[in-house]
Amino acid sequence: MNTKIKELRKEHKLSQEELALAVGTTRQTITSIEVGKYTASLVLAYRIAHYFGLTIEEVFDFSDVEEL
Amino acid sequence: MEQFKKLLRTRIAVNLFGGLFILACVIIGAVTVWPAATNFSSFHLGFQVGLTTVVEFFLIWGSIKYLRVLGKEAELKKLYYEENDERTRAINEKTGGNVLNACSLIILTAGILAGYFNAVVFFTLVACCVFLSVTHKILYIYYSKKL
Repeated sequence: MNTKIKELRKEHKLSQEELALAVGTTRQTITSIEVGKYTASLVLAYRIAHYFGLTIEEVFDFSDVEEL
Repeated sequence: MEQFKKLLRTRIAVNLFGGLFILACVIIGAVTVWPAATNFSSFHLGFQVGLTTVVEFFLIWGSIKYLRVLGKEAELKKLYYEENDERTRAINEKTGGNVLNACSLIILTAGILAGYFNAVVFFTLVACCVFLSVTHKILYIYYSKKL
């Protein structure tokens, strides 16, 4: 899943470590989410979006998700 | 965070008590059982000494790590996040982490006890334990790269 986390992080001049500590996870998890290898849980997605003052849909790209 | 501090204090107590208990068992064994143990291999006895040393090292290292972190709020938070990280939990679940660890421990204990009766069984069970541990590590590395 694509995300805008990297761009948002650079806008706010945050390192991965700083963002990880702010949202209660590890740097490795943030890295994996940014490269699209790992899909964050609802709670973590909410925390990341909330940290940047955005909605989950504005941070995470759901266009790849199949319509049922 | 208070709950986590309490958990760390409990772990420190368990580590220290466990370490003392294991050391006491080995010392009692070395003094009473091993001198009379003429029919098992020196490898078996040496293996127990080596294993005890490693276990003691990790128990002491763990205790020091937790003691160091208890006084520092920032490091405590970092440790809490590392231990409760969802990706790490997902990797552990995929690799059967807790089950494999428990099986390895049980097999190792059985191997050590069996070694007092039959050396072949001892070596077989230790080899099983090593194989399980290596398999777990390989799977952990694979899923760490994948996720």
